[in-house]
Amino acid sequence: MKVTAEGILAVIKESIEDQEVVAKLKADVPLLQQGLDSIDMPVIAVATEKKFGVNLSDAQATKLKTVNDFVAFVNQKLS
Amino acid sequence: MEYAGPKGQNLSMRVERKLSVDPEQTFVIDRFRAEDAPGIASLYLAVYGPAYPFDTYYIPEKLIEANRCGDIHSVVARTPKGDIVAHGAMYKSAPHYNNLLEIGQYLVLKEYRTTFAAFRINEYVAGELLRQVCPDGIFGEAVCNHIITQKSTRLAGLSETALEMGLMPREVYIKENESADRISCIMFFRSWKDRPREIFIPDAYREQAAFILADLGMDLTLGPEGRTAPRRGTATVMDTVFIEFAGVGRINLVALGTDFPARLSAFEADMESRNAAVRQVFVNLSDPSGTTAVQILRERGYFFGGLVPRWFDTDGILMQKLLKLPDFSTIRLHSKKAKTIGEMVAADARNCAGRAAPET
Repeated sequence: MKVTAEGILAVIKESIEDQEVVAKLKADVPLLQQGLDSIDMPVIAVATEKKFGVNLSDAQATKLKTVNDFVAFVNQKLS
Repeated sequence: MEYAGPKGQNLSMRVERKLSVDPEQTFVIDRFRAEDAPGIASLYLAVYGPAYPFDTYYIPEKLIEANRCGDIHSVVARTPKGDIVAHGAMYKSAPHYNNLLEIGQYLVLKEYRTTFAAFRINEYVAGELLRQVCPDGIFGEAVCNHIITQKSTRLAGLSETALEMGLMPREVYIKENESADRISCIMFFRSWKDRPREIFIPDAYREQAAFILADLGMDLTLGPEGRTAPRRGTATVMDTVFIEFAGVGRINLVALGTDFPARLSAFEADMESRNAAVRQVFVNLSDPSGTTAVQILRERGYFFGGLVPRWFDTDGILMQKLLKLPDFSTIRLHSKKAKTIGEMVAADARNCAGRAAPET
């Protein structure tokens, strides 16, 4: 199974309260430049771990900046 | 436990110099150990400088004692070298009831702000620490000049209950180009050990109270207003405090007596002489006479702030009065619930201006 940007965006939609910001997210732009903040990033990381059953350390998670980074990371873990 | 500082510090002395901390170390989230105290003091110095108004955090011996006796339950992010790179806590503070604890004191060393240290501490405080300490409830106060703290407080499972208008002087938080108003704070609450009880809500705030209480999961019965007058000759039970650095005067009104109007006048005169910017009255609503007190306060120009569950073990309402109202449009509120509470408070503040003559 390949995870797509839509899959990661669905995780973000479920875990982040500000749906106006979430609705406008682009997959290739750093999330911190699109209205999300330092509180949201660990929430997305933890939600991604749970949703796809992958281990994502804090150190690894801090390197994931965009939706596409999350897609690539999860797909690498699942392959 | 006796403990000598790791670098020969005199633990009874205020820490005046920051400890050196290497960047990019790993860390674990853990409860406080005595040897963490100098590192926490250093962290406060690094983040706030020497002026944070509670000196307990700068004096290792005081912090060790506060953690030993349960006034503070610190949680730290500790590196293998023993450096402290982040801190959070659950602690006794303003409530009349000492088993309602505040959460906060979240600080992260600048070099570690790109890590998840604050998130992990928040997670620990709202999970492991809450289970270990087991208070009846926890509350938080989040500043409203940004929404970061509001978001993290909601992540800890707390929900908004009140808006404290202009609580903090702007000098504490002001940054360039920000509003010159005092900073308002939104209060949050999470119930942990509940028990069935009745709460008497003034009719004027019944709708607001029902909204605020709806998502708190408490076993409450809303009693009628009643407006019971206190029995003749009954003395008011209340305590007052003036928080000098913030310019805030507070009353915890435990039980209404016939002397309350006079005692309120004395409080107001005292606050006037101290030039207090904010006056807050927390009214116990476990008895119908609490609604009478709220009516007296409304007549004196106090307006609705919200609810303060378990503030007295039983629940309370916050009434507030300010020398100068902050501009509501500068108050940043994160959640829909917070915004609705903000609208309720603003509406009552406007009504209040119409029902009470301004102070001279």
